[in-house]
Amino acid sequence: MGVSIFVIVMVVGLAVVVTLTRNRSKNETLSNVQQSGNLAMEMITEAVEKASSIPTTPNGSQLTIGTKTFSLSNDAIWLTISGLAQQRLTSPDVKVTNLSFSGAADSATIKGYVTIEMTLQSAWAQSSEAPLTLHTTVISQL
Amino acid sequence: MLKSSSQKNYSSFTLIEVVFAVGIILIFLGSLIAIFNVGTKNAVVSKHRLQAANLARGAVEIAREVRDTAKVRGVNWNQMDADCWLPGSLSGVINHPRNDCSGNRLGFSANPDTLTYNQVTFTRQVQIINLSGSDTKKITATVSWDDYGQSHSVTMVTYLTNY
Repeated sequence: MGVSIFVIVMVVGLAVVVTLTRNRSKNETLSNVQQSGNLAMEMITEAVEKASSIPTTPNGSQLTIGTKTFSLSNDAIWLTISGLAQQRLTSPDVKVTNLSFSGAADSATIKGYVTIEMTLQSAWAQSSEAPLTLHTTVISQL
Repeated sequence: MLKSSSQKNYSSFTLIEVVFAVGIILIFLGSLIAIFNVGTKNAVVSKHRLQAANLARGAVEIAREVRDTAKVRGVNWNQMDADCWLPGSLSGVINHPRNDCSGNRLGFSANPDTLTYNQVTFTRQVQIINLSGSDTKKITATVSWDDYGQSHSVTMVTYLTNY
């Protein structure tokens, strides 16, 4: 009787520990993905806001604004300034599955804008974990 | 004189005491799980809040883009493109961002703007209110969505001036 109760309590305790550990890990992963996505989005939107113009129609997974080029390569978002070495904007623990730019260039009939969409997930994510998709639109403010 | 082993008086827990103790332990463990589940739910809501904030910023930017396009064309923003933007007559009315205006422009319409990501649907609404005559407009973008049966929203406010 005593042994049975002890075993039940131990099994329940172990299940609790496993659940807590899994949740903690999941929350950390989610936070990491959010921070990476937010940082990359802030870098891109800031570059567009500070640009003097949007000379070409944004299209595809690469955007060049002035001397800065943002692109998707090897599951990460990269920034290249003036053709120098690439800087990785997203954490190595985060996998970027989609980066797309669309919008319009500056013209005599329209103020240019850039619509940005990116999808990220943990590099170690299980298939059940939903990816994070960030979508926004930004224009130059100069 | 020594007592024999059979005469020793062992003190032990009664069944009621054991059941009571186990009950307390299970309640404690259950509470821990409940607290961490709340943490996990909050993490998911936080994720959706970040998505909503970006959508709201995009909606505000659309209003700014419309104003600046009016500037580029040299027209009054109150007479700008009747098919997509009539803030003068729509003041105070809830509008929805749209990207299907003529000439690849952005604008607003009366139809709901919904975006779905991973089975979560976000609805964007924009309210445009004229201030100081029609030279300043208050733009309020609200993005709403449901998580775990509860409604959530993110609101972003900005003021645009006809500079």
